[in-house]
Amino acid sequence: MAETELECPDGAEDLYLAATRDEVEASRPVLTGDVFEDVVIPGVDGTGLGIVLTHPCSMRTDGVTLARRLLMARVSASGEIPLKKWKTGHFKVMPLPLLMGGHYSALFDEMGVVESAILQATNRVACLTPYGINLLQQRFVWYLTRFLAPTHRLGEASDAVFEEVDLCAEWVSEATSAGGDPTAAEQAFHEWIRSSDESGSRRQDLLRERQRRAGLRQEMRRRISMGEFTTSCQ
Amino acid sequence: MRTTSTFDPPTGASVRQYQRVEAPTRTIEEAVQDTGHLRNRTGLLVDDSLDLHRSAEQLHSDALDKHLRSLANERAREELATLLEELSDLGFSWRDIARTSRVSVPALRKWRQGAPATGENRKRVATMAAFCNIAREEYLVHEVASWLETPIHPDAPIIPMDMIANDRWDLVLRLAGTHGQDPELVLDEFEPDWRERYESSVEVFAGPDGLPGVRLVERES
Repeated sequence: MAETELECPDGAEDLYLAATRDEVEASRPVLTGDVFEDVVIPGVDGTGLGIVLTHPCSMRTDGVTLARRLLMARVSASGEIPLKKWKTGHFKVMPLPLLMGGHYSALFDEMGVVESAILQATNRVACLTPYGINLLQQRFVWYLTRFLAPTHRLGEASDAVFEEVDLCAEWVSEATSAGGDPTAAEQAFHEWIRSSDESGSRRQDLLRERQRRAGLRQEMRRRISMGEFTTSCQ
Repeated sequence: MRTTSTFDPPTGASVRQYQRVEAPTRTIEEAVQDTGHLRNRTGLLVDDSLDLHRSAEQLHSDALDKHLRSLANERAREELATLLEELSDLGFSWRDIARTSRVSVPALRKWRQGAPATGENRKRVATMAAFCNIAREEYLVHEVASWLETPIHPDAPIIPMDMIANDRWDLVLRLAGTHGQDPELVLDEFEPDWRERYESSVEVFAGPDGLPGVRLVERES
């Protein structure tokens, strides 16, 4: 079996969808691995950067509304941790190299539950890639249980959620660019993704099948190009 | 020396009187020698045909690569936003387009809004668009985005898009050309240790709430 050591990325760029505030897409729903600044974490000293640890599937109560509280860990400046060293040590942290141009780490022994309402969109400074989230989960699970879960399996379990977040961000971003209301657009997206397609299958369920995702994106983009991003749909 | 069983055929006049003359009995040593000789000859033929197959395969691969590069050069003259729009219409995710173009998703967003890209980046997008042309028109891969996102072997999560992100167009062209035959050979070339790397004692299953979870694979006792 291959699971003998933790994994590491080939480069820091594999970790981030956005590594600075300017790169963060405001329309992107809050997700595991998002880093916010000015966060007060109960039980943890001071105010500072914090990273969301709550599992992607547990973040929204009804699949749409963000849970009232999210598990977060403090993110602090740290020395550079060579990528290869991730495999065999530094188990209490998730290194975040080149975050905002510096070297930071998420500290698993400094975490707590944060009211999600205090997380302002404008305070989000980074978003991880799916692979970055899988690595974060692998290290967090290892820290908690000493169980080594391979990232490709963690990814397989969460892929559909990552895809849905991408689609939602694109839908809302396009709607906002066209002058639409972001909240109405998000609501319309959630109605669309939970509705059935021509074959009678719920679109959200289809996202679990990799080979169906491109078709869903095409359908969504056609809808957006027709300006139908703030209306409920079938 | 004439030792084989081939004799002159009987003439018309002598046919009635023809009596079969037995060939001299061959010794075991002679038979072994003949077999060895035949084995050597067939071995050489196998080697020759394998060499020929490899050469033909390499030539074919080079030709495909040249075709792709030439079409990519042609397509690189088009507007970057147009190329991106085309990939979007085919159903590619922005994340994948960014990965294969070796830029971030935010950089891609800027390109779509008209920001300039380097020649190298533009060429990467053009190559992707050119590949889609070839895959659809010459290999009849109609849903090319979907095809590139689907693992090529059930025992590994590797998708053709991973190969593109690593500039292994030759392997993706080979997969498209053979309609996915011999995926193991392609994987061996792309990631030689894929079997060990992705062999796992963990599997994904549907949890009691219907959502996916991970658990240890149950071993048969």
